Amino acid sequence: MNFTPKILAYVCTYCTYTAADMAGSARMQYPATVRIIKYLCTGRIDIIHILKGFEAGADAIMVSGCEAGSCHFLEGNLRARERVEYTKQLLDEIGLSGRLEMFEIAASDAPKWVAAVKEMTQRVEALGPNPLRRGKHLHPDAVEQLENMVQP
Amino acid sequence: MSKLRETLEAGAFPVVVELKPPKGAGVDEMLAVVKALAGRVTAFSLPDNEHARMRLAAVAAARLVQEAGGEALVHLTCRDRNRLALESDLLGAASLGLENLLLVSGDYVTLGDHPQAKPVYDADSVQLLQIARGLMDGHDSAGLALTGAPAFFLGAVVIPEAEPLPPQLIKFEKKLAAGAQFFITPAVFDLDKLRRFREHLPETPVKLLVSVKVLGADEVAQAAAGQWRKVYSLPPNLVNDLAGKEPEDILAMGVKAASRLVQQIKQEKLADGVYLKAKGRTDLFTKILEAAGL
Amino acid sequence: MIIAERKPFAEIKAMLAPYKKILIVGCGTCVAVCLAGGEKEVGLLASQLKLALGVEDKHLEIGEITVERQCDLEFLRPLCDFTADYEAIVSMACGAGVQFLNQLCSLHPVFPAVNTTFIGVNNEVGYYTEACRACHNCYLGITGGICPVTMCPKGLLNGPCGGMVNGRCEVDPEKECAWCRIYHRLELEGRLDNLREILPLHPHDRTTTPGTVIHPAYKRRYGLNE
Repeated sequence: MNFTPKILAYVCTYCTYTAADMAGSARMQYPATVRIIKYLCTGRIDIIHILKGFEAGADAIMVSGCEAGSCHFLEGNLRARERVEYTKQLLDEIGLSGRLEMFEIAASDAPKWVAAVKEMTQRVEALGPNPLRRGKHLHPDAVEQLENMVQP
Repeated sequence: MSKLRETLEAGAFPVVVELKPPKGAGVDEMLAVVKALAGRVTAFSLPDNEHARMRLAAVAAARLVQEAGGEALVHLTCRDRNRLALESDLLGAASLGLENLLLVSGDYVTLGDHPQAKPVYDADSVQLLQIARGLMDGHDSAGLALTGAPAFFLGAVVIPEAEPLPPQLIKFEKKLAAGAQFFITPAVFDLDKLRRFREHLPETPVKLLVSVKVLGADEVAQAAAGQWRKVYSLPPNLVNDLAGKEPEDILAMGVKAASRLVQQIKQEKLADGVYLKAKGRTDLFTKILEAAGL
Repeated sequence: MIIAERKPFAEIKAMLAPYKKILIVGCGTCVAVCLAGGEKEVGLLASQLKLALGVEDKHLEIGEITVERQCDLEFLRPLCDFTADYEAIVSMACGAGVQFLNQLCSLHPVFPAVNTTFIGVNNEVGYYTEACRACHNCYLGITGGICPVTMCPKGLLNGPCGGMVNGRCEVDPEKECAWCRIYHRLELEGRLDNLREILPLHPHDRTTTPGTVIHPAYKRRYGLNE
């Protein structure tokens, strides 16, 4: 299929962001399909952030936080998981199933980050583009808007 | 006066057998039991939509039982009627010559076969006893006078194995105060529990009918699977003995166990009478009665 | 407070199918606390609708607003000017709020987005249980602060039914029998004598709907001089 997936990654700065950074400095190869939005903790991720991401045209959204028990804020990652599970239900109702996933990637685990991006990319290639995109690219302002929403 | 009442008051150990009003209008099977046993038992009991499962009206079934030559004991549940319906059904029962009543709250609707029905419970069983007592005294629950007061023999349920027991005992006392003249227990399998319960009975004598039940294969399977959730307990060795047997064998063994229980209850004077539950089947009732020497 | 649950998305979507421009009105009180119809849920529903219609290549213009209390005229009245531009209004308030809004916005169809479930308590976030049936005749002073009308599925006023097993409810074995709770509480307080007396039949005439309450201090204002 001739399209480049646009995946948004809502990641925790303490773990996944560091892992992604390390993957970069180690020159690990993975698809250039992912745009990272950095959170201080995945516990800050609201359901509406995820829905707005899809409204903006994201083909998939991955939420990635610390492994269970290692959240800097004790249980932000557990809350994120609850919200992601609920949001999956909302997406099922809409007809956008399969486009959201939660990952747990420790700061030292760059290979897991690479694997996660590859997995989501493959998944989106199978699902096809977000129907809301209608062949268009991700709206140029979308990521900026989302970033503004995240910053208080 | 009702034969049940006479027998109880004479201390002559009445036997009540429980019929199953049909799910449908065909009453022949139910009445066949009456014709076969009318001479041998004191009364036939008619549950009112038992376990919240819809069946032929108990009052109508009771009248048919009387016409077929038996005496009836009608159940009336608070679940399905508001106070107007309860009272008019009580008067209706009296007008049909039905005197023996068992007044109950009733199993909840969601446990039955019409789970979406509206549960009523305008009165509870204590209040229903008061209502019936009021009718006997010549007035309805609104205090209005009646033309012709009914005569009833008022029964209520008591749970000897209730756990915890004290709240049940409070309810029991309330039922007595509200005018209950006799009590019926759920099925009893463990007589020790009955003996212990008897210690809590008040000084003034209370007429007590104890239920003796023949278990069905489904119930045995449920108990064997550890799923037993009833207000009466089953002794583990009984369940072990019955588990895995053929349905008819379970019934046959249940009949033997039931007749032993009846004999023991009578000998030890653990109750003033018995209330038999055996799937509403003549053959099972007959065997119990014969084996128990009644 | 009033507890509500959001209606299934498909039901809401079907109700709104004929319209192109709708206003979703949240309520900032009870339904906000129970996460069914507050400002956040308005945003979620709006986004969900946009996405769902977007998937079908349809367009729906959605306005979002949340008022403090939809059951209060003071908060609702300013909204009226705001509704004129829309074809239909979706209320995320309880049934009371929906009807009040409907009364005020007489030119627009008003649709409910939640099912109002009961008066209850917020045990923990996301976990609500029923606690009051608004029976007009509170027994809590007698029954040790535990409501027999609500906590007993049968609403029995004079003690446990015969279905209680090991202190558990016949209807839901997960729940403790309300009458056992009442008994234990009164025992603890040394007030078991409360249970000796038979409570009379409940005065259901008071629960005839729709109920009206006029505060005694305001009887003159509403023409109810005695």
